[in-house]
Amino acid sequence: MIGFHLDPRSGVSTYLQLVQQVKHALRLGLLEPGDRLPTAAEVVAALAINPNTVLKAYRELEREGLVSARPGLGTFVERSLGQASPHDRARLRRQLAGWMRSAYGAGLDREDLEALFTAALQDAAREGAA
Amino acid sequence: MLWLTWRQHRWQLIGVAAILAVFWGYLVHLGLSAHQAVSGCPSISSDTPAPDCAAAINTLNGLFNTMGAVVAYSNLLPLAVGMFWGAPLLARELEQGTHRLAFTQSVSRRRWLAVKLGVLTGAAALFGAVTGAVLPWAYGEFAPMFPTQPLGDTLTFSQSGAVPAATWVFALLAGATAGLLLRRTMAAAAVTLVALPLVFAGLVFARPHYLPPADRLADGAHMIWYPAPQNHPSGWILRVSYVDTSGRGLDPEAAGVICADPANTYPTPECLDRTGLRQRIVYHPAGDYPWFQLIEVGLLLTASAAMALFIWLRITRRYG
Amino acid sequence: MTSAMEMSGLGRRYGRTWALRDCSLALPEGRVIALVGPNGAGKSTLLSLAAGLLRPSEGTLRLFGEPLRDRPSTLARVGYMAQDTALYPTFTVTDLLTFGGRLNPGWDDGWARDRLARLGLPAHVPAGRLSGGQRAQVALVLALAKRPRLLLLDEPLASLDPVARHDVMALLMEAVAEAGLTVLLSSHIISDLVDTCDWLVAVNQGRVQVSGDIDDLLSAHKLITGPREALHTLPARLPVVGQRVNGRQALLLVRLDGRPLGPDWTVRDASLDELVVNYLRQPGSCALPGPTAVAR
Repeated sequence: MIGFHLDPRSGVSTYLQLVQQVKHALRLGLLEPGDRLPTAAEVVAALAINPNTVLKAYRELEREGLVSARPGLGTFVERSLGQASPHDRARLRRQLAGWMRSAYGAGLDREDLEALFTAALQDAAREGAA
Repeated sequence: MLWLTWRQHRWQLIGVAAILAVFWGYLVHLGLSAHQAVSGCPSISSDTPAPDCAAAINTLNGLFNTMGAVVAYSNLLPLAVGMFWGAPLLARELEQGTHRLAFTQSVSRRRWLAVKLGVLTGAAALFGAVTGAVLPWAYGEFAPMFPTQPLGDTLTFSQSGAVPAATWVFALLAGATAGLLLRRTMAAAAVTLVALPLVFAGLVFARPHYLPPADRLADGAHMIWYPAPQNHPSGWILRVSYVDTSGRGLDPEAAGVICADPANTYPTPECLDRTGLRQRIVYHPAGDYPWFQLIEVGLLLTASAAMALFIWLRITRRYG
Repeated sequence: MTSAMEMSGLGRRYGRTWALRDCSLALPEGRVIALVGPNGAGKSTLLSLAAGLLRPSEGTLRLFGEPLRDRPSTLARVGYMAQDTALYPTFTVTDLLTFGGRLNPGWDDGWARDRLARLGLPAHVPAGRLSGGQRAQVALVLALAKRPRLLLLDEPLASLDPVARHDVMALLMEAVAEAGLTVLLSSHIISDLVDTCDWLVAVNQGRVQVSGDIDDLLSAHKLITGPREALHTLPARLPVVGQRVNGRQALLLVRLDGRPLGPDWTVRDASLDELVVNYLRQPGSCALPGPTAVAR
């Protein structure tokens, strides 16, 4: 079951943060098609936010076809995000961890890593891989 | 609502009940002891009791004095009711703000007030009624030696019959009204402590005037001994004066001068027979006792009803 | 749809002072409504009138379409929590639960016991010896357990530490999610209300200044900044709520109606806090449904 957390300083509205976190969980395979999202009551009991915000987030996700609400039963995940299989995702994550270990070993710190990674992303985007 | 009333007032009710249990128990003890003393001496009511009655007479004297003290102190009980039941009844709710909790549940204000006031008023009336029954009974046990009747005795009248019940109800409502107006328990208790004795004193002064007194002339055989006790078997003596043969009124000293009896300051039966003076007695007959009770109860209950109505209107009219 | 609360010309006077005057308002059901305003503005008076604790000096008040009555059926619909969390000081939590159960036919005892246990509140300590935060939690559970349709809370978070504040709001939001409750709560700390409320009512000097859906209000109001020399370039009759000039810069809160402002002005979204503060500084401005009278 997904646990939400909010960042009040991110400048992103609350309902969008919830949407992003659901999508993030889908991408990481933490949520799979058929899983039930927490009810609005469960979410607000933990976060102390207005239930309408949760409902708004779920409606947005439903609009994008990611979830569907079944009356009386709850809101369920319809499809996953991204094409990669969980196996591939796990492999790539291990490879990334290896890269990070060697980068730390070479004396880079966290901000160096972030700068390198961001630069590489931008290079890839420019090369038309987007 | 009954649960709430009990939970909020249980110690007040238990406390007063405990004090009363001791009080009534003591009265019963005094009465039974008097009864025992009297039954040990059948000639006690006559002018010349038997010599072996001396012990009984002593005992009865002592018990009667104690009785008088108990009756005097029992006049404080309504004060306690007013200060400890009445004053906090509404003042404590308002002071602590708990009326905001009570009035926002699902019980109407009418019911809230009716049960709270009803239970406590009922308890006050009940406790007062028992007092009004036990005390005269105890007094009655002394009758062979001390033939009193309640009409003439200021302190006993207030504690006999229906009057104590009405007094306690009045005291409760007076305390509650003070609490409602002042919204502070301490202040309301203080005001009640001052106001109630004033009211009771007022009643004592007003009492002789409830009914027009009777007026009779007595000759030597039927005169009463002067100075006369207020409390006489024939009734409540208000004034004694004398009338001479021409119908002129005389006060007891002047009449005594006419009698010119060196052994007695005031006229004796022999003097009345000799000089033709008559004694004029202004009194309330003993048989009027129920009327006096009724009038005093009526006054107290009317005032109580007015206060209850005032409280009712103030509390329940907050809605449009 | 019936309004949860409808006021028309409502006023309340103490002697010669009017705590609340000429207030007309319609609040929708199922919302969490923030009641804001400076101290002494009339928030407590408004809540007390709605709870039936005070009688209006003028005007009418209806809840769910019906006037207030001294009847159990009407009383059961409203829950109220006082500003100083009035609880009988000698009553334990257990006593208070019995109290609630005896005086409310719609009492949900199981729910109340469960929530109090979850909050870790001791059952046998007299309420007078609980901390401010614990008392607020007990009072809230009592108000919710009678299953009202409308809940009125007078500064429920005022005496609470941040942890207790979170717990109380979480409890409240959960009850809203489960029961479709309408909540009207007052506070003068706007940040407590930002994520939880979706309707705003601002009361100022005894009058209602603002009443509207928060999302609508925030999308309609913008903060604009520009050089003070450019003030005259603003469109005529642009609804300005508040304006401040700091040195060379002018900062205004306006209701944009689509008209362009000119190149000197930068526009950004207003936060709820900024919206409220600007309105409260200008008692003459108002944002109410229907014809608006906005002072420039």
